[in-house]
Amino acid sequence: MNKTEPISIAETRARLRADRERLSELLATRPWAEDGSLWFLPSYQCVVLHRWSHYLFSHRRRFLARLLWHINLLLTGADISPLADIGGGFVVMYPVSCIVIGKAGSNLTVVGHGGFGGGMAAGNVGGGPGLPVLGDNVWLDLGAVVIGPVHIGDHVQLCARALVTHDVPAGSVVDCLPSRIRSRATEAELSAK
Amino acid sequence: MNTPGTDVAYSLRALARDIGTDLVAHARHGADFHGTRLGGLRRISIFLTPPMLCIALFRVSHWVWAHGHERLAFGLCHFNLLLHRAMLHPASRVGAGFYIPHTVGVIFEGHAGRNLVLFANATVVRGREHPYAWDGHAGAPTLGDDVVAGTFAIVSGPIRVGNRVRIGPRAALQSDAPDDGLVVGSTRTRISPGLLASSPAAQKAKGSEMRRDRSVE
Repeated sequence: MNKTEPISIAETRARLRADRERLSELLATRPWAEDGSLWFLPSYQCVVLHRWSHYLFSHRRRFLARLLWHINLLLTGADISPLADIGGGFVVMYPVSCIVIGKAGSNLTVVGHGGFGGGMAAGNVGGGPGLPVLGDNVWLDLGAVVIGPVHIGDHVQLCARALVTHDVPAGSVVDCLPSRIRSRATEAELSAK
Repeated sequence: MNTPGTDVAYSLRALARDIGTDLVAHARHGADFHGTRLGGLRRISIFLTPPMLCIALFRVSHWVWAHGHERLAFGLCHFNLLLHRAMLHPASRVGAGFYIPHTVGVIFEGHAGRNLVLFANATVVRGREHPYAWDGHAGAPTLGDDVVAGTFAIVSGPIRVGNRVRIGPRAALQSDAPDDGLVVGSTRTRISPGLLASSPAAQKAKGSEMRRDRSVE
């Protein structure tokens, strides 16, 4: 597996500050950010637990890192690996069944039910044999998935249920086909469903 | 109009009635499991199944929201998330007869009529906004009566879904759907036989198969 470079406490705190700022922007219409009650939101808890888990992992405190990772999975349902190196401003909207491993730039948004991670090969974050590398300001919509050693550029948006297994240039929008509506289903169709 | 505290008319009696109707819906859908006779003990046993507990918790959290205790409502919602892995936003109004067979991954953030059915991982969301930024006002999907959302279905945006609409598994609905509509997912799984036959793993497997054949002879 690849080696994770040690990350300083100051850097972890700076990233957490960026996370809080970005989340406060998104929650501007409700008074969550005012009195420190961000701590009660699972979508913030999972990010905090991941940050410290990643810090401990990079300092070779494997047991504590795994403990935090597991607590995260139990508490919020988000499976964010201690290996994952994610820049500041990370937001997870629905933490249940969000799976994240790899490397990402700042202001990453994972809506939920998806994420990014390895295919069948091991490690080497940097676009190598297993894990994806994401740029800044990437948006993964509900159920969007990035798999394998691919590069995703800055400002990329993946729409709901998009599946990406090759490189995506910066600024692009990856579509998934929207569902068709066949109105006025017949009784036979309804009973067959 | 569903900001916290604006629906104080939603009484405890109405809450109990809704939960009772949900319980009957669960009994009807799960007749194979629960049997057809609904005695008192049977009702308690149905109430203690995870899907029913999940819905009851959601109903209570909505009652708390409607009476103006936003933080407490979210506390109950998070307890529900922890227990059942379903995010049912306390601001959402759902008619009686709500049925979720498998709670894992279900997200509901919107309004719906009676007899809503959400299968596992079905999601009804506002789209690009954060769930905790919702105050119960417009922007969320509004579903009619007797809507069924299949597993991994996505319903998102400020759309209107008619009565008796069936949203198929893995469908992504982002526009209005008329009454009696059938929404089908448009991604189809393709099977390419033998596409990986030249890969090293397949060659290896083939080699061992041939050796086995020879030993049989």
